[in-house]
Amino acid sequence: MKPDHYLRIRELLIKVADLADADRQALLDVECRDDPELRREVESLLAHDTDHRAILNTAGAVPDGIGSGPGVEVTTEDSDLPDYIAGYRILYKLGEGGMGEVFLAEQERPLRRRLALKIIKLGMNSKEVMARFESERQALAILNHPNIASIFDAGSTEEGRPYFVMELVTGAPITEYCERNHLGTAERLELFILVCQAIHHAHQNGIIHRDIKPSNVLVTVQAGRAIPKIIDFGVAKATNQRLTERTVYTEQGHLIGTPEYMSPEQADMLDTDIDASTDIFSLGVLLYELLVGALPFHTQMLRKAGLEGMLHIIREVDPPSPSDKASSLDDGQSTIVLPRGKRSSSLAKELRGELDWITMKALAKDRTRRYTSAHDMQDDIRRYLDGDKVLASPPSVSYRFSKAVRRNRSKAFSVGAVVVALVAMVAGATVLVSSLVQSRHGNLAAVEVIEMRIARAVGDRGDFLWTRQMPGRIWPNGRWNWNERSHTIVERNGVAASVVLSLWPDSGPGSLWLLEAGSGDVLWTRDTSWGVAPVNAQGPTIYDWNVLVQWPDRDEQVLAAALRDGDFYSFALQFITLQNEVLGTYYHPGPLYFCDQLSLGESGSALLLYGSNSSSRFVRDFVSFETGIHPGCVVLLDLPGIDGQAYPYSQGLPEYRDWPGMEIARERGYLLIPPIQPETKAEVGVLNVSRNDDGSVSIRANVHDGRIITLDEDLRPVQVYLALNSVADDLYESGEGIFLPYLFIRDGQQEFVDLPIVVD
Amino acid sequence: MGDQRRPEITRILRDLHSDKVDHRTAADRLFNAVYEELRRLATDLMRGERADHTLQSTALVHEAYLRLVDDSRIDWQNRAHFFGIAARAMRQILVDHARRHRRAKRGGGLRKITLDEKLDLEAASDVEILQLEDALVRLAEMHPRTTQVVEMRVFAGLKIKEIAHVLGLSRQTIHGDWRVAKMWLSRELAEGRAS
Repeated sequence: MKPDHYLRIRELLIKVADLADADRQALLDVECRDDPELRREVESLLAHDTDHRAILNTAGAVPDGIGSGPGVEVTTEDSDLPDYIAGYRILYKLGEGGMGEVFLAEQERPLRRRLALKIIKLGMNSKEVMARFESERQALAILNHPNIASIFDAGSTEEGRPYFVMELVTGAPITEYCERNHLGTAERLELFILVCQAIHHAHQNGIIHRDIKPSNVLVTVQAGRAIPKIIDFGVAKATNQRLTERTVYTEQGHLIGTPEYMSPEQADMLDTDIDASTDIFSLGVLLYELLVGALPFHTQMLRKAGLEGMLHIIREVDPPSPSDKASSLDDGQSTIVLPRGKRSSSLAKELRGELDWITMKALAKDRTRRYTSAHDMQDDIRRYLDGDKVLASPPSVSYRFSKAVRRNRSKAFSVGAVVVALVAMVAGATVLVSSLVQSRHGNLAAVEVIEMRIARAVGDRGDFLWTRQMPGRIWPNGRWNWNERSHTIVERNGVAASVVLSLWPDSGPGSLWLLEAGSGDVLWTRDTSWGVAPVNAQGPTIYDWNVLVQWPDRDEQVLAAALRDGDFYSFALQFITLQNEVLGTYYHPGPLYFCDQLSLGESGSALLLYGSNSSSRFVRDFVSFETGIHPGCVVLLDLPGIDGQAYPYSQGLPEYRDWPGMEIARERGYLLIPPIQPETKAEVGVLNVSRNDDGSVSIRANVHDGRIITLDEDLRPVQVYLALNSVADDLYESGEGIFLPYLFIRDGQQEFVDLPIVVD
Repeated sequence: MGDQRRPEITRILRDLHSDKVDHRTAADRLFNAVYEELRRLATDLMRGERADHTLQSTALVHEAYLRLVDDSRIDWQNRAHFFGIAARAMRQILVDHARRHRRAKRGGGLRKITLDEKLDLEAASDVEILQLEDALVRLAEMHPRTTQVVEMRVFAGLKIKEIAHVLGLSRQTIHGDWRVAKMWLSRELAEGRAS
């Protein structure tokens, strides 16, 4: 667009922007009679007159006085924020949440200090809020604890919006602080103990917080020491509203509360019966999050469940224990950045046992089973840190059993619960299946252990039940387990299917689920209402998958799925948009390989990047001898057809610059190769795999830097973790070939062979 | 607080429109000083707090103002000029940060996601900031003044009347600039338009 063209458009836009539609059309008819292009442009811009991008919203007003020259009036656009509220000078907005906004404010008298002023949004009954606040005012005033932010004042603005004035705490939410500083478990626990102490102090003064969550527990650093500060004491109670559809969701259907931290009794939608044990529960969720780096129930899952489903989960469903959760998380799913060399399995090992028990005790649905005080909880954590025996213990089988029966009876299951206790031995680990609910379709026929922690229960009419974790619940057909990412039951026409993949965890019409039916068929569905739309119902079984790229701004992403067709693996790229269109599927016949990054250039060219930076990613790297691809390569592809050329990834990829699509891709910001990480180079091991005459496979390991990384002696199936570097290139050049296998040894399943590992 | 302030900044601000100094040199010095201060504050902030940059940028600009300028010794025009310059510095910092961040962490413009990954606000805002920057560069080719208005509005949170003072134009003019800019930028961002 040329400058004079812009001016013309600007002039016209301002002329017509505020006109009624008919007047606007009339004026545009005249002004654009010879210039339909201009009219299109103006109308296209007008469509954005009210639909502004959030980034264009300014963050608030500037301090009073700037530009207060003579003869100046405030425009309506700027007038929504008063300069003063109740005598506090409003400086600027610190943040905004579902409840209202928080401002940095300055008190001028009696002493000059900076404070945080929280204004509750319109719509709450100001008198009720104030009355509830008054009932605690005395108690709040005497709360005096270094880890509690003081509340100084509360009142109502002239418009009747309640406000709270409190100590200004500048800091990060405790979870973010821990992540950013890579705190280990012990350090996290030390911080958490301080939080418990503060909560206990409040409880002793008769104050329940009711809304403990990371954003209300901020960590500031003073004189080199991390100090957690709990904010918003008194606010939750004062602003408490009965939990209803209206208060939980805004009109757009967004959840405004924080159900992730809500106790079962709070989810009962009754405003009675909130006591200290409610805070203990929320502390349990916070501890869970600090230890695992993920919430007990996935946020998207909860929110997608609708109000009723969500409350049901909070009241009834036991979350996986922290260690189970940790071991079920893939790379990147936990916010905990593991120290070098540490994997999620070792985090799980650290959590298993006492830390599981402590956390689960705090999270007990039955409040009498929780810690009786924050002080007791803190003591138990201290015992753990000191190496003493903790008071918390694993829940007994009989308790779990009675609970399961109670729950199922309450759900009016038509058949009596059949309780089967099974002990399965898998690779030396004892797996206890404590309770099974009888299928509506028949009796339990068999329990198959599929992986160490996953069992499949099969009904005698061929339907089956799954459970994700053992010990744990086995869900009857037609219901699903809320553990995200779990093997999940859905039912369609009597066929149970396991959800292998949920591509779009957020709800909405674009949600895509990949289902693997019990028959081995692959089914796809795209909505969240569990309708299953077969895309290739007779297609091959999805063996593994990976989401490679997402362009958030284009609502588009690329999924690579490996399909198993007989003994053959193939590689597929699915181009998917949120508009429910699979744009294309490209198969690459041949051995399976996986890349961990992919970018697309113009005209269908693509770039695949192998083994870029995280050693655990290499679990998924397979090498194709035929295509000459091996980890550490950049593969440039021209789609479709996926014949590509492989370039070594080391030494900054000189050849890579020659790729014709690169300039375009770079301009679009899609293409930049990260430098190889030094730690990657250090961890080098190379495996050679050969097939023996008897069909078994031998792995010979070339060891670099003194080690090959295989490991987890307690983890059967065996996973072989490898990293790579230029040694891999050399070996490849010499024709020996490289194979980085993802090995599982699974009982009774043909496709996984026991691989003797020979280390040279 | 007072000892953190740098008298020379206040002096430069005061002299900006007098004959005592070469205007461009003074403006450059001011820009450099403000840029450094903002970057320092931003580094602290990004280390310690969440990454909703645009929300924080206004706060940062004000924090820098409080640190650098002796409020009692300047008038509203000087103040407004400070914010005009700080807005430009803030824009630069956010763009630099977003570029560096993408290079360092994402391995380029790709966003690799894993199953159920929570929404990565940081990456999203990097993308948006860079898109906005692209769009602003294009806008500047068509109408440089509007770009300045957007800068002061978005990165320093200046009010319309304040921008009018800095640029020596009527409020009406600035209001028009801003309104059209919002439409144009929103459309460009929504369409993910590249140059």
